[in-house]
Amino acid sequence: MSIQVSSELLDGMVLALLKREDMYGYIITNRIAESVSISVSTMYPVLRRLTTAGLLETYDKPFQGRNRRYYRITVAGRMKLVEILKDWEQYKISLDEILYPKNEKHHTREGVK
Amino acid sequence: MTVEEYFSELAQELQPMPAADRDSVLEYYHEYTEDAHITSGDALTVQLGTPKQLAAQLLANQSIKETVTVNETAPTKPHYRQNAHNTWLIVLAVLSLPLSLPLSIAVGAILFAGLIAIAAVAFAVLITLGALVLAGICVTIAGLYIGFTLIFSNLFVGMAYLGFALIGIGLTLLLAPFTYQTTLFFVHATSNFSRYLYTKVTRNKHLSAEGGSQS
Repeated sequence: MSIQVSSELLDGMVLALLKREDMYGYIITNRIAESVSISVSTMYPVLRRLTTAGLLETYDKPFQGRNRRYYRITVAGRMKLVEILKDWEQYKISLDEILYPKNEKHHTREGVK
Repeated sequence: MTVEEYFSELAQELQPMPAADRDSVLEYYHEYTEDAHITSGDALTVQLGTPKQLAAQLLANQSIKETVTVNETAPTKPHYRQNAHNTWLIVLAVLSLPLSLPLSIAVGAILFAGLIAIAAVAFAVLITLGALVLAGICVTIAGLYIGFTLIFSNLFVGMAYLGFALIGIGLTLLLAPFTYQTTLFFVHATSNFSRYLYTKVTRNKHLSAEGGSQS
């Protein structure tokens, strides 16, 4: 896919993933990379930023004689996710207005009726 | 290149970073490498770029992050300041109430008086026009009546009165449509103005209700 994902959107995707369950870096990277083209090295800064912003917290879990760092969404993170989803919804609508002009007109006409 | 070599080089390149940050970066990528079952430094280079490239990216990100956090905290301060600002404005408004209340009443009274004056002028214009039309009709009827009664005994006086009657007809025909249009205009203007007032008042109410729910 040639469309680049903004960092705000990437934040939202990570928060949405972690809302379902706690994950560690490798899994998060893979899940995100399944749907958008990102390089492996972009994930660390995202996780780091979200953690320092208090939207995520980390805890270590022993795994095969080493530690795995899990990321967990905080209450602030959940609130941020709601905010991002709202923004995304708005953004999607305003983009669709331009990308699908006919379709959108049809929609608003129905809405007026 | 082995994985260990890759990481020692990365650690070297990350020297400008604070030690705690550097440790957490290295830990993260160590863990990633093990989870991804990457066993050679070359495979790591394919995924992450050379240690130098990765380090440059991380360092750049750190500086961006710092500016971002500065930017993120910046807008909250003016917000508080704005609130304080508003509070002071309210205090000021309350303190100036003894002066501003009579002043606002006076301004309101002046506006009201102006409105009354405009309405009075409009009413006067309408009444005048109506009176002129009525006068035209009266002159017509009187002229016709007197003219016809006098025309047989006194031809010229009777014709003069018939002439007055014709003037009356002309005046009425001229002024009647004009009066009608003017009346319509004033009616429209009044309804438009009251509609404008209504929307203004209701919108203000709506806005204040919204503001109340937000705070």
